[in-house]
Amino acid sequence: VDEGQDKLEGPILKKQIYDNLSVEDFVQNLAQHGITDIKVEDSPSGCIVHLQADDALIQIEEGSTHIFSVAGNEPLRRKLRDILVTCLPKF
Amino acid sequence: LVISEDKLKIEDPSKILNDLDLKEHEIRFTSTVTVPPVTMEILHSKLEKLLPDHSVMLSPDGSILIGSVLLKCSAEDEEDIKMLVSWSYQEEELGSTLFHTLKNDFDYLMQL
Repeated sequence: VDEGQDKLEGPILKKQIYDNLSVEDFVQNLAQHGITDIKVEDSPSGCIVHLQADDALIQIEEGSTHIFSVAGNEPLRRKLRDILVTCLPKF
Repeated sequence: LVISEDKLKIEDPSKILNDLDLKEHEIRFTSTVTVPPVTMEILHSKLEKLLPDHSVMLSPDGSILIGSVLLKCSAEDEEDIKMLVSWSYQEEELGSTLFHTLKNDFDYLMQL
């Protein structure tokens, strides 16, 4: 197999993502993907989801979500990214 | 691609959001990576060689900006530097590639 074939070529068209994230929906989706060690904490402008076993936290605010991967765990970040995107409306 | 008054048009997605009174949801990532000691000036010049088609900017506060991708030193000692790499979902390819390069191909980057 030519390894080059697996690589993405050219720019990818990103979906336009809008609206706010339902925290409940997001947490439920995380659980469905095996991420259950979750603590949700209110913050002044939204909430913070702590993934205690994985050293990551997700800051959710109106109109924005910020995923912090403290340990630089790339497979986990990608997983969180994909779960997050499935929870938001897009076109 | 939008159908408006029986015509097909290509529109900027952000304009459509505005027209439909929808608010964009911004997604950002920040990951930590540990690299061997290096000054931000050297890292800046190496990244300029790695990414000749991008504008690589060194800020007065020592952080490096490439589009929406931000590199910032968060802690350093004699043995290594902890660096924050932050990027937006719209620049996922650039951000994650840069993170991967710093994490796994740092020696290659320094040889440029």
